[in-house]
Amino acid sequence: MNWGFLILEIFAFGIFLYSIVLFAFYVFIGVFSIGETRKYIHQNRVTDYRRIASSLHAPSVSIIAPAYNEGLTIVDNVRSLLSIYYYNLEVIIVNDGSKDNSLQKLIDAYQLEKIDFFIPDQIPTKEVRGVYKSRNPVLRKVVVVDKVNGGKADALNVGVNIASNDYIICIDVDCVLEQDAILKMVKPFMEATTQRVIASGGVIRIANSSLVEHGSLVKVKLPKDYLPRMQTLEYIRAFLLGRMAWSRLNGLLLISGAFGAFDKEIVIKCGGYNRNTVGEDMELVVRMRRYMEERKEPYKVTYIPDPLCWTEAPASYKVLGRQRNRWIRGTYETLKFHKVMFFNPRYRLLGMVSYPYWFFFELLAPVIEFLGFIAFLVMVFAGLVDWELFFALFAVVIGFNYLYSVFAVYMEVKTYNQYRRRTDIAKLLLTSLSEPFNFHPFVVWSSIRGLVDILRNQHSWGDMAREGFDKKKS
Amino acid sequence: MILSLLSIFDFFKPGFFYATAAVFAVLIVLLLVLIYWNLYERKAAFFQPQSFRVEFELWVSKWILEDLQDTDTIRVPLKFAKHLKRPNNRQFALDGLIELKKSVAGAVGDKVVALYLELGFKEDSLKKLNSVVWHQKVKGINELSVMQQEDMNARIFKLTNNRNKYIRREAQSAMFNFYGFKGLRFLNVLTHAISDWQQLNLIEQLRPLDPEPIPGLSGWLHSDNDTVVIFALRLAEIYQCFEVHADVVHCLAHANEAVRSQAAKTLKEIADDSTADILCKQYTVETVRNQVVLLNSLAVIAGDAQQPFLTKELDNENAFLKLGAARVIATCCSNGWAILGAKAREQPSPFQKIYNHLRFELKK
Amino acid sequence: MKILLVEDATALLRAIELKLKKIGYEVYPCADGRQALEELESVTPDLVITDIMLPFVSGLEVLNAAKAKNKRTPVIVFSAMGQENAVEEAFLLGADDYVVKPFGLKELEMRIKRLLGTLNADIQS
Repeated sequence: MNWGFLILEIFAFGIFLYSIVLFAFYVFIGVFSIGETRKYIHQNRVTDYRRIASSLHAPSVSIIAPAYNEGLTIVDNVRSLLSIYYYNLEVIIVNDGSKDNSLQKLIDAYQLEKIDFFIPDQIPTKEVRGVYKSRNPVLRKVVVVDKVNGGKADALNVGVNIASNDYIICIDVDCVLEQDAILKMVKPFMEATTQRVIASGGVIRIANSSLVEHGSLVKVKLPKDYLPRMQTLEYIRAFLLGRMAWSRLNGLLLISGAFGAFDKEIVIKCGGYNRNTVGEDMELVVRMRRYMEERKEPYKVTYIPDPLCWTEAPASYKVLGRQRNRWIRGTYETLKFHKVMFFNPRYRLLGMVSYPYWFFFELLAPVIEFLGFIAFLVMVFAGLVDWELFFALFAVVIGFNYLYSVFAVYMEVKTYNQYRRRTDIAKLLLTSLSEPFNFHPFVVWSSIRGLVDILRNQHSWGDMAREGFDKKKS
Repeated sequence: MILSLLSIFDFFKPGFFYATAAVFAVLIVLLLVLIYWNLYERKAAFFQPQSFRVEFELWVSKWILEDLQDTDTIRVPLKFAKHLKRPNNRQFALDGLIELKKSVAGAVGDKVVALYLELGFKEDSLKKLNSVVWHQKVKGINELSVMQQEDMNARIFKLTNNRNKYIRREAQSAMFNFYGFKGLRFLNVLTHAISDWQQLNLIEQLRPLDPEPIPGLSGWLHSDNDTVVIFALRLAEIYQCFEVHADVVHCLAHANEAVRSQAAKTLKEIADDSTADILCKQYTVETVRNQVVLLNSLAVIAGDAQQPFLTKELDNENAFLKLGAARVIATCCSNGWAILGAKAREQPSPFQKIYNHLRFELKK
Repeated sequence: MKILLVEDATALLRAIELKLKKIGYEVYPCADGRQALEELESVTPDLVITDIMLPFVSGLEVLNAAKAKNKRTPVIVFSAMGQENAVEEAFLLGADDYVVKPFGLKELEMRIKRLLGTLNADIQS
């Protein structure tokens, strides 16, 4: 018996315990999400959305879509936003100092003119160069804002300042929304009677290879390429199981920047989006929740499982790697800003479960997984553990991964069934087989590089503006 | 030695892990079977009866267009009988009729109801109404409501205060659909909240009705159920019920912020000479959110008498409220633009911008 | 006379189609907006009847496309109860008439005839 062995012992025990808790969480999430999804679907079947769509009395909504160098597609994107059913709607496009001709294209396509506009600056932002509206009365919903480049969070804040309506829906401008998307997102706010709903998240689905015409999704198809297809599965798992379970617990911490609805009053009271993080979408939700917790006001963050928002996923390893690198940095920064909540009973579920979960199983997971795997390999080669045990453990981990994926596919088929063809489902399942050997290690590696970047650039990191925008978070 | 006896590696037996992996594998296979079984069922449900569905719709269309007066002459073609025994097809046919009834009025609508009864779909609806599964019950109520089966009103009325919000929502809609404003008497006894969503649902149903005095309105404005108060305020707003002015003013002092907000909105529709002053007085004690609402209401009903108050509000530190006050001055005061112009010269930032903003906004 | 008819409730679509055929019109039924846009590429209708809320492509876009093809093509829109706002939008886009659901088929027939200028012929006969 020596110290080295004792340390090894403790280490192995730690990893073991970690894995058990992680598995337990996944099982809980999977099982817990079922009831919530079923309830939602039944409720949807007996709800007549059309009646509310054109109601004058429905809550007023402002869509905020920041755009940076999107000149190629911006006109179509705006067109798509205009085809949404909702009467009390305003569509704000914020041109974040694009270097291309985005603004001119919009001006030409929608007969825009610069107008006098007083912006009540409830949130400080970079300078606004001009506000544009259309001369065509049919396009009275459109507001285009031109501003000095300041990053995504800053662009969103300008949108919040300008928004004249009670609720805001922040989206990525290149997303394709279903026609009833706004209606379904607004419903939870209108359903609330005892707890105020401060934010509502939506599902992001992957549109690669799907057919988009006239700015609307015509036919859903399974992505042809490996990476987008893998992410399709990943998103189904995250949105249909993870988010659903967390929202049932009322412990949801992340609403995708690509599609989320917020109560504008609370957003302004919290000071809007944080410009000092790459994870501004998650940070805002955490700050809003913290704000409500500290004021002891009853509140809820809800979540809609309908596939309402479709977007292109990164199709190359390079872009995907950059995206995951950014996600982990965003997570780190958010958790750092709000570290006071870590296991703090004052924040109830938020402090005792949600935050620690994100800390241990989202932020630290890549590190622990990576170190654990390396350590295990070392032990095998050092003869401390035999190969058979190594493979047996590996089989359990992979088996669990497959089980979780298959379960997610089952829930998808049972509920929204977007990919109707049997061959598509087969392809999706087959793709999942390679995940532990290819996709997953790459994602872990990208995350670790993100964490390394944090350590390296601790100080030189204030200026996020020129990074361009994040892609959506799953 | 003791420590090594308790070593964690003693628990790490490959056999145990292999067994666990095997359990996972079994579960995976089970799920795979379920997935494909599900896909197969869906496909079968969709494709097989396609021809029946098209034919059925065609037959229904033909039948409702015939100029028959006597409903006894419905003869359901024999070939449909077999298909209609299948639950899937039955529900499809029923849903088709429901959709049709929602779209067509008059004699054609009555024919759809006759068909609903003739095909025995009312029994289906009743079965659903009796079901213990909440979404079945909701569907049943909905079908009976659309098909105007008013004889079920007693059963449905009892459900208007049900614990399940979907059940009570549908029951409330049905009562309203049957009896118009008189159907709203469930508000007298409602103990559960009536959400904004449901309020709008009812209000959008209300629209086509002729405005008539609403029985019980004044009572609802004093209800213990805050959401009933809000709903009553909304009704008073839409139907401009001047007779409840005093009750609505009373609601301005309500403890619930949302009630006060709706009261402020309602008052602009039923205002008399005293209202604008009441709103100004309320303004000083309100939350920012409600102050915005109050200014919006004042923009409709304020006059020169409120001008000193509004001018003072131009110096409110909240820019949103500044703009709101300026808007009221511009629209309601006889020398509004002159006041704003003077203010802009005196303090160009921000008032020049506010002035220009309002010039653009109000020029239409 | 060719009529493009767009309505997503298929039973209603069938019923109106039959009714119009009976009167003697040539009817092109579509169950969604996309189909309607495709149809518009090959057919030049004398009248368009469309629901506002349709799958894939909204009725307002169908209206737009029809008017882009021939500004004088009369267009009737269907709207559900209380959709005055959507109707307002439709009129801004150039719709010629609207019918609120639930409606009577006779009413629809009259409105069609008026727009096609055949109502007087009917009265005289």
